[in-house]
Amino acid sequence: MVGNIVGHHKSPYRGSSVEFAEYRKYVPGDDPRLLDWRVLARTDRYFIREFEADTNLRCYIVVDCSASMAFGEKGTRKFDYARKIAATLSYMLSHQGDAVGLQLFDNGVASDIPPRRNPLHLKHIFDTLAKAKTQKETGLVQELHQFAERIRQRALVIIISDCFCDVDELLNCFEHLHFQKHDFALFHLLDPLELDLDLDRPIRFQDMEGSDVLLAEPEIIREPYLEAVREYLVKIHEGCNKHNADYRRVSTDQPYDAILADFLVDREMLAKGRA
Amino acid sequence: MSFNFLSIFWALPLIFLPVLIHLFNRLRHRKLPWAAMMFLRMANRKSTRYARLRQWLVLLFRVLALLMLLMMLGDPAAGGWASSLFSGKPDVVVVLLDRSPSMEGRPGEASRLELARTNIIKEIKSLGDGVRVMVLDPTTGHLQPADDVKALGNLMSGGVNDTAADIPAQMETVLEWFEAENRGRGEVWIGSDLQASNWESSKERWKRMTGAFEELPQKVRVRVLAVNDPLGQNGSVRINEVLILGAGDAAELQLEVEVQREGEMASDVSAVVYLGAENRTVELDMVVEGSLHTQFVKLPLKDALHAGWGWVELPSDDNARDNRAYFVYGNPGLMSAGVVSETDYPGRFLQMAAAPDPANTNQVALLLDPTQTKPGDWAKHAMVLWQGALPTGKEAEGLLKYTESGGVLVCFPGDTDSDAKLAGLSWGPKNDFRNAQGRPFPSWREMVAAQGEKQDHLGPRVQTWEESEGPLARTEEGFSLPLDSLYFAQWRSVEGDDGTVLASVSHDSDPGSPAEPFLVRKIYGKGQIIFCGSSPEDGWSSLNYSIVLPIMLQRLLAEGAVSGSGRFSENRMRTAGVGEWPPGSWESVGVKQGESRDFNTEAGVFRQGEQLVAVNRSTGEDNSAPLKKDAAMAKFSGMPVTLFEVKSKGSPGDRERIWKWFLGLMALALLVEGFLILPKGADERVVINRSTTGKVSSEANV
Repeated sequence: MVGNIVGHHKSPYRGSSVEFAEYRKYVPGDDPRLLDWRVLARTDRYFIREFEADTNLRCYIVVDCSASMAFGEKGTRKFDYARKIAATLSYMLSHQGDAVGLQLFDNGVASDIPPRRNPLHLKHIFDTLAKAKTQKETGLVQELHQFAERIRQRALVIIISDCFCDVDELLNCFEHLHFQKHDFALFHLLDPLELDLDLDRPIRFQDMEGSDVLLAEPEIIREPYLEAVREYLVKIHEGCNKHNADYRRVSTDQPYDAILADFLVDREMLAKGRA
Repeated sequence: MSFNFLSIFWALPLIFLPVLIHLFNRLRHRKLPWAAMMFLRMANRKSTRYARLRQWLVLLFRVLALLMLLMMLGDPAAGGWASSLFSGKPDVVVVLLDRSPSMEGRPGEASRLELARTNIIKEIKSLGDGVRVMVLDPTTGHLQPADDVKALGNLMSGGVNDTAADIPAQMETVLEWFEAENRGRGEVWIGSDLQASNWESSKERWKRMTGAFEELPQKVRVRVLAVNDPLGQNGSVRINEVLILGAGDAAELQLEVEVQREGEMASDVSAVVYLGAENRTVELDMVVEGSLHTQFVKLPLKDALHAGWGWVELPSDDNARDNRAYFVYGNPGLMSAGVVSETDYPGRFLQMAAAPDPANTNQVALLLDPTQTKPGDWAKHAMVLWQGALPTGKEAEGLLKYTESGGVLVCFPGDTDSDAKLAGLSWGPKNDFRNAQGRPFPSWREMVAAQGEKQDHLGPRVQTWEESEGPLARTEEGFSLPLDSLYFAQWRSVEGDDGTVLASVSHDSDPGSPAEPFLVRKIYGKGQIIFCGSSPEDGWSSLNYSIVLPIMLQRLLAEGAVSGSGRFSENRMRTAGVGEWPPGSWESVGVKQGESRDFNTEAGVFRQGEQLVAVNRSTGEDNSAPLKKDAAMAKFSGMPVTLFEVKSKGSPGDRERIWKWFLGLMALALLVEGFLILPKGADERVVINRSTTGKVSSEANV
């Protein structure tokens, strides 16, 4: 993690912590104090001892505010679920001294809160999340590209969205984020009804992000629908793996605390694995 | 198949309930704002034809299940020959029962007639109330109502008679009845052994009749109960000819006996000939080889009894009705021809041509003076020959009346011109054939002489004539009459287009000229009028030299004798149910005291005074060949027809309640419907995990 101050997260740079990192050959200009004299004595070669540097975390939480996020036939709306995750993560990160920022995307940037560490900033994030509303259309792909260009420093990007957009374009965004060396995770929110189409009588489906109307009998279209959803999910999942993204598919009927606990434990395990 | 509770089908629209529910369900769809439209659109495009077809198949099987339920509740019955799917109960049933001699045949214990009668009565009983039943009496041609089953039994109780069953004629009678009585949906039930001769008629007649049935306002269905099981062994006998050979003590009776075999009948047949007049029985042993055997039998006759009657009888077999053939013998009565002519010669020639040997035959010809002949006297003659100008006034009236009652009038032209017409026909102007100098030939003989060495036929010539039937027909040996060798020096054309041209003349010298009628026949009442275009005189034609005229006149004389209701023949061999009988009181001969037979319908010997008549069944009844099922049904082409073949063992009328079949079919339909709506197995279904992290799986379950 690239940070400005000392924190709980491992920095990509070498620093002055007690954690040994690696040996490297001495080059002119290096501080001679860093030479490993024992190695020089034994081998008559010049090696520098390097140590890990600890730094703080810069985290951007991106919440999709498109109209499709307002869907919630069986309980919680996806958007509410997203706000809970975003708020909880913000709270936790802020309390461990990390800088948290918030990005709300609809068909533009509805809200852009840069990462800060102070408690007042956390309140600002909570207020923004509380006031946020879903919009008719989404420009998630376009905004993610712009976002990837906008942030210069490497950061943790947590995207919370239902990803109802063109999969290939979305994966391009992930590639863009990966290219910019950001660590990012995707909370892919889906309503249970969207995952099983458990409807029994003819339905006039009204597009939440447009004016399309489709009269269909779920019994007839269920199989091809589920097949299409399956293909789409596989593609997203594979894309996330390809770009080292942490993919979390979340059904909104699941408790969000358990989802977050899993997420945090996995990241902890990942951090230890790297160490 | 029929239904005992037909009114249940008023509920037939209910079977479409599943379709209605489906449509109603579609109409009451609910609205749902939906986020994942992209997948719905894809799914809608990809939804397979099978998925849509399956939905309709499910509906179809639900409809079928309801239909089967409805049919089960209708209490269906099958197996009866009179039943058919959804035919329901007719309003009126007309029964035609074949009572021809072949129906007496017993392929099993019961005769064909009994089989047909039993099954028809049984079926009519099963129809229950509300059906009007009419029975056709084939003898009178009247339809009689059967108010109840008992009355039906009485109407159908009669046995077999010896008349042929003219099924087409009986159907025409039924047609007339339906035309007169519009009684709702009708059915014609025919019980018959399908003997071909009983069903034979021209295609046009059948077509006309079935067409008329189709045009009736009510629908008429035909059901044929075919009792055509072949007989085990049967023989039939017939007398083709009866002759008396010799005279006095040497007189012999010659019978031409024809025997037909059917089935396993033995070839050695011991027949019996009974001579009723002499009360004598003669054993007759025959060896019948093949299916048809003809044998001449000669029996000596007593001098005093050269007229009499008798029968030939075969041993008992599966059909007793065709085992006996009756005959009568004796001198035939006189057949008289009356001749009227302008001049002496043609009259005498016509007299000779009509009766060449009056001393040794029963043919006589008398020259008549029309002015002295009373109108009623014409009826004494089987044929009248009229040469000269056509009769007028009372003479014409008398002759037309005579012809109408069955007489034959043959007219020849004379020298006198006249405008008179007879039954629409008249003589045209006199024509003559002229030589190269333009002078007419005085006689046909000079025309022959003028032919010279080349022998090219001079003058008009008969080119075409009717050879298949009538007075100019070929001989029995197939020889044509030499009409083309006749010469005509003079002739008159026959005017009036109301007759049938039997022969026409044309000119060899002028092939383009139209043929002129030479012999024209007009049917008038029961008789006929013949116009012959030339006279048998040298000055007219070679009819006085050719064999054509005597043959023609004797044939017409015989026709006149027959068409006059047997007025001119004393002893006759008749066919039961054919032709009119001479008036008078006819009594049965050779029956037990107190018994009598109906000469219209039964075979036997009948007497009136000295006149004896033998009546036998029709020739076709001996030919047992039945119509094939398809051929019989084809007769009613265009009409709804059902044909059921009754076997002698087992009754076709046993109807089985078959509601269980429909229960089974309903269960089957529900089973198929259940199979179609069965959800896919766990391993076939697409299931999507609610939450996923880590490495992706490419399996179906994500």
